[in-house]
Formats: sequence, structure tokens, C-alpha cells
Amino acid sequence: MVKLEELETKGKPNWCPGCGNYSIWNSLKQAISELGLKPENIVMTSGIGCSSKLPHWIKVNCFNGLHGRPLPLAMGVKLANNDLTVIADGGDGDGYAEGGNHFIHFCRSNADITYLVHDNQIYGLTKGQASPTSDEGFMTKTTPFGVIERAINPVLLAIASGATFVARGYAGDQKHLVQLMKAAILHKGAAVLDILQPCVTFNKKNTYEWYQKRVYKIKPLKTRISAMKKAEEWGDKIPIGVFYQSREKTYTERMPHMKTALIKSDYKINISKLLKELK
Amino acid sequence: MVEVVWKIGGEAGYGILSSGDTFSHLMKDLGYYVFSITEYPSLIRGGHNTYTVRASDKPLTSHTHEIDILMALDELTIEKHKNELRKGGVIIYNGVLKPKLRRDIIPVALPLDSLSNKYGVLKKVMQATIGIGASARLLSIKKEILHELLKQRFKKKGKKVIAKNIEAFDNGYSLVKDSNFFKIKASKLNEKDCIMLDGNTAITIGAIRAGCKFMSSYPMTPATSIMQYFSSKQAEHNLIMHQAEDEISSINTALGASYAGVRSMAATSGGGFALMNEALSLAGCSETPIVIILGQRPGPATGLPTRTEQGDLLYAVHAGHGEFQRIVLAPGDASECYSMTLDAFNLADKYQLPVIILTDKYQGVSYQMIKPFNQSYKINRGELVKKTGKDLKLKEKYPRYKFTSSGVSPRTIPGIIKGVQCSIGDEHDEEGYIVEGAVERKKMMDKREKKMALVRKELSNKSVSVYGSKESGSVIISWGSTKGIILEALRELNCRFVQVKYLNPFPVKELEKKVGNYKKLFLVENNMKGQLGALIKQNTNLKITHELLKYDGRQFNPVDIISFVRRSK
Repeated sequence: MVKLEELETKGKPNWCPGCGNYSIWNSLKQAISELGLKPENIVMTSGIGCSSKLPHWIKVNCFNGLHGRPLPLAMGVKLANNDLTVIADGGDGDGYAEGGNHFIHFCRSNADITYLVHDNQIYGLTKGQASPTSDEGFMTKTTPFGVIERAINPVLLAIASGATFVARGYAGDQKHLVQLMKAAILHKGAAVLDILQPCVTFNKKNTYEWYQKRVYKIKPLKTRISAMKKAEEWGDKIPIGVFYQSREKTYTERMPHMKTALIKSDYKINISKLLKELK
Repeated sequence: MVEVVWKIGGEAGYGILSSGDTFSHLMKDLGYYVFSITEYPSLIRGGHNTYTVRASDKPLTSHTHEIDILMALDELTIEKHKNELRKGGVIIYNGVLKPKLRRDIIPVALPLDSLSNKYGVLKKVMQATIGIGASARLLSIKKEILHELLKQRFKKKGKKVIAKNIEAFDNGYSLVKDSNFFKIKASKLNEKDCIMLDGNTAITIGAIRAGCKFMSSYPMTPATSIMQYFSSKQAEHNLIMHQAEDEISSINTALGASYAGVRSMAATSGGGFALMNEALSLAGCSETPIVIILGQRPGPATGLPTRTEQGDLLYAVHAGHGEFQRIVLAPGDASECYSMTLDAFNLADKYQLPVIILTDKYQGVSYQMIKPFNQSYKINRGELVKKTGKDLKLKEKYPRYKFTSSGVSPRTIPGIIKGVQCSIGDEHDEEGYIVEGAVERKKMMDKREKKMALVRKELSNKSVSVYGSKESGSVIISWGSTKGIILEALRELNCRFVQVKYLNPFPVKELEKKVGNYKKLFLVENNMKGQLGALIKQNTNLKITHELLKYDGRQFNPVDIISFVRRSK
């Protein structure tokens, strides 16, 4: 078990007091500690937004890249070195708007990567615009008449796109969130954990009180179809927990030729055979 | 000098590519040097496609504007290309057509329909094989040589396919008389061990030799064959070719793999490169090594997807937001495609920056025969630290962006050392934490720029190559795939040719030195605005006196260069 203090960094989070991100940050440290993972064997990739700063404040390797692109970075890391625990991290705007295409293709790849989405249904860092998960009718600075599109349902989309571990957590229930994070990290394959995260500054609708009244815990459903049906539920009652999990071959396990992780390649390279083929 | 130029033309789906390939190998097996180009529109069936094979007993570096034998599989081919035939040239065509031809052209009308009807859906493809048979006879090539070649080429497809092809070939062969005009002997050239390949293959073999283990790309003409070749060698060389959902993903994935310690690349064309721009800037800021192959085709937008142009030089030099460091290089032939790719990977690692290899459709998919590559190469991963020697203290991260006298900070690989590091695209301090301070910002910008002094020093003796007459006051200046064409033209001109191979950082002093004294300075570029010319004007004291620019989607012919130089006063 890694001691929590070994995960501490010089820098301290600069989120707003009361932000749901603190709970996600603490949960992740707790999960890493309880799983006994070595910090040097963990790589976190992140995008842009309040949430994407999280890896700076946990002492693991990180690549804090571009808005919407943590998943491609994570994919590259994992394909280069399969032995690493790879966690991609970002917000709802980062993952479902800017990185929407990557999200779908990550799910279908079933690459052995954990994707944590801090879903606060608002753009925080740019100070209060609509996000893809903002509820229909939600008033923001860019939607003076309320959001006119339907909200993306990340859980439904992840299951439909082929992710093999799909869960929803809630920043207001840290104990439960730690369990979900541990399960997501341990899962072999594409794991999506959408985390309901109150934004205390810019989202005055989806507050701790709002979620507290609605969330209830579920157990994993047996089939994709039943999980998708459960995922449709959003409103007066909001299910949290693992919706769907199945062990299927991961992206690299489906590569018949991969015997040695790229990072361990033999660099005595001989191209004589390639040249002979061109004679 | 013995030279034969053979061209086959017809619709896509007629087997133009594979017949051209067969003919190229035939000439190569006979001991000739070969240079082959293809022209095709962006579609799967129909349209007008050609494959031109130029063979000679002397090394070739380009295609040419004339042909000796035209194998026309349809009427359009006759109309479009009959005037390229040299005096005394031969045109082989379907006897049902009655084309009007110059008197100095020898018509060979074959009953292609009746000979090929029995092949059903393969009718047109077999007509091409009949045409190869007829062509071989015209060139007095022994039947057995081609039989052997066909057996080799169709080995995997089985005996039936081989027999069918030999039958069609023999039909063509028997219908034509021996021709004295094109008598070709299987010569014993010393260069029998030459290899025949296109620029894309040369780049990919270079990447494999350089220890590039990871590639992530999205298919785009003319760079797609790089992905395909790399894919085909995955098992043999322990590689991964990841086909990404788009080019944004492709470059970010390659950056992820590079961050994790594996040499990585991405290949694309202009449109895909445009999507990569933000991450190119990330590579610069995060100091993550990466090699990007930019196979140019004519823009703007989708442009002419399957044609050639050198329209992205300034784009490659300037692409990406903000000011960051990069190297841009442009090989001019298959040998340079290989050797400069080797160099690109070492440069990317040593200076921890993106390196862009500029090539184009002409160079990427034209076949040329060259001496086998020199395999000796030392992988230089620069300041890649696999053991730090000491454990990090509590709360301490590895100083990924440590200030050093060279500007290059030692980097580490996750999982291998005891310690952790942070790479980042925000402005940062030595440990990779986000900073906003004015002093810190400037200091980190200066650190990154410092590396370019070392790059300039390293490239100072190899950025520019000179060919031809040392004394001549006429100097042609160009870059990239025009090299072979200019070299061919140089055989008939008293000129010096200066090839700029490394374009960023721009080799100011070296270029001025290598151009030396001149009366006329000819700029030759396959684009509209003279982009190398702009860089020369911006950076040097050289004065371009004449410009030859071409932007119709086709490459220059050697005669274009010759007549341009001769008529320029």
C-alpha cells in the first residue's frame, strides 16, 4: 500500500472552495493507495479545464495535453508500454464536446485504460457556458433562452459504443466513489467512470442538494440492453454505481503479433530482409 | 544510352497499376535502370489512369515527356497520349478502334476483344497482359524471361492464375513481329543488386531502421502507403500501427507513445496536417520528440487528391500557434528519403522537438532504382535518462524541464525510473507545474529556443547539396522532389544545382556560401507562389533572377527545366 503522503505534491489544488473536484482528487489518491499501485507505474493524461489540472496534484506521471485529447495521449502511452496503469482524466466539455470523437473510438477500442470524467454539466474554467451534459432548458451565459439541445447521456453512449466497464459516481459520496475508481482501474479494458461533480460557482441548478435528493445506488446489470435501459433513467431519480461490466479481450490482446511491449523492443534492427524483397 | 519509355493507359479497374508494376520488374530483371510514375484520378473505377515505365542502361532520376510504346486500353488513352510518342514510336491498341495517327507512328492493332472475351470480368485486365506480351516482342525480349517473372509475381495466387496470364501474354507475344528498332538485350549491369522502390517505402524502411516502433495515422493520399507498409511489417519488427479515428487523434496518440519512451511517427497530407497543428504546437511546448511525414498534394482544401505539388513548405515551417521549435527537412529522392528519415528520428530525440519530413505524391509513389541502403546507423536518443540514480524526495517530481546550458533537459520514461515526471502544454516550471509569471515564462521560452543554436550547428554542413558545374554563373535552386528532374536536365546544361534539404531552421550562411558567385539564379518550384523563394528573400542576400513555377498538379519534365534555362536572358 502506498502511503497517501507519498502521493502528495508541492503544488496544491486551486479549485473553488467546496468544488466537487476535491472529493474526486481525494478519492483517486485513496484508490491508488488502497490498490497498492506504484506511483512511477501510473500515467495520468489530461486535457484542459478545472478537472484536467488534477494530475498535477497527485505524484504520478502525467501528460497534461490539449483540450479534448487526453484519450489519444493515453492510448499512445498504453500501446507503448502495456505494463503501465493509464488513467485519462478530464471534464464533460473536454471529453464529450471537444473530444467526442475520441470518446466513441476509445470505447470501441476496449484499450485497457481508465477514463475519469468530472461531469459538472457546465463549463467552469471559462466561467459558465453550456456543456454537452447541461440539462435541456438550463440557463447559461451562452444559452440565454435555455439549452435547446438534448443532453448527452455519457453512460448510455459509452455502453452503446462498446466500453466494457461503465459506471457513474457522485462526488458527494466519496466512499462509494473510491470503490468505483478501484473497480475501474482494476478492470481490464476500456473503463468509463462519469462522475457527477457539483460546480459550486457556476452551476446553481445541479447542486449537492439537488443530487443528494436524487442519487441512489445500483448493482451491475447483466446485459448491455438492460444496462442501457437503466442508463436512460435521469430526473427525479439518478442511478449511480456500475451499470455494465464484462471481461473481453483488450485492444492489445487482440493484436496477434504483439509478444513484447514496444518499450522492451530489441533495438538490434536488421532491414536486410526488407531490402531483399525490393530486389 | 539505350532508353525505352513504355506507357499503359485506361480506366481504373483495368489492371493499370499491376501491369505497370509487372513491366517495371521485367525491365529491372533484364538489367535496366527503371523510373516509373503513375497518374490517376481520385476514384475506384473508371477515369483515366496511366503508368509510365522508363528504362535505361544508365541510372535514371526522373520521368520524361516522351514515350516509345503506348499500350492503350481505351480510346481516351490514344487521344490523350498519342502526341507524346517519339518519332517511330509504337502504339498498341484495340483493333476495333480506328484512331487517326501521325504517319511517323507505327500502329499495332490487336484483336483484344476476341482474345480476351473468355476471361469474363477479368477481360480488361487480361488485355493489359496481352499488351505486355506484345510490348515484350517489340523489344525482342525472350519469352522465357517474362514467363519466369509472371510465375514469381503470381506465385501466391496459384497455378491457374499463372497459366492464364502466361496464355494471355503468349497471345500478345505471337501477334507482333520482332522489331529492330527497339532491340533490347538482357545486359549484365553491375548494379544487379539495386533495389526498386518508391519514396514512401524508403521513408518507412528508414523509420523501421531508426527504431520507430509506433505509428498512428489516418489514411490520406499520398501518404497512405506509409501506413500500409508499416502495418505489414508489424510482426517482423515488433511494431504497432494504430489507425486513428482522425488526424487529431493520430498525432496525439503518437505523442503519448513518444512520451512513454517509444520512437513514434505520424504520416499524412496537407488536410490531415492541418488537423494536427494544435498538437504540433503541443509537441513544441511539451518538448516531446515526434516525426511527422507530410506527403504534399495540391490544395487548397481537398484540391487534387491524387496529384502532386510542393505547396506546403511555408505551411510546414509556420504551422501551429505560438512560437516553438521545429525542424523541417525535404528529401529529394528515395535514397535521401531513407537517410534523412534516419536523421529525423535522431534529431527529434536529441533536441526533443517535432521534425517534419516534407515529401509529395511524385516522390512518394514513383518507383526508382537505387543502390541498397547503407544499414549502418547509430540510434541516438539524446538525453533520455533511464536511471536517475536516486529516489525522489517526498513531494518532489523529476525536473523534466530543468534549465541546462544547452537548453535540452534530460527526460525520463514512466515506469522505468524511480520517480515521476510531468509533461505539459501549459507554460511551466522545471517540474512541469503550470506557471503564469512573466519572468518564469520568458525563461522557459528562452530555454526552448536555446536548443535551436545546437540544431543550427549540427545541420550547418548538411543542409544544402550542390551538383553540376562549379564554375558556371547559372545556378538553379530548388528543394524536394524536383531534384531528380533537375539532375536529368543538368546533363544538357552548363549549370550548378543547389538543393536545399533542411528548410527549418533556414540554412542562411550555408546557402549563400554554396550558391557562391552567380549571374543568374533560377528558382524552380512545384507551386504557385515560389515558397522557397520567399524564404530566400526573407533570410538571405541572394536575388532570384528567374522563376519557374508549376502548379497544375503535375511534376516538371526535364525539358521544362532545360528550355527555361536556355530561354532566360
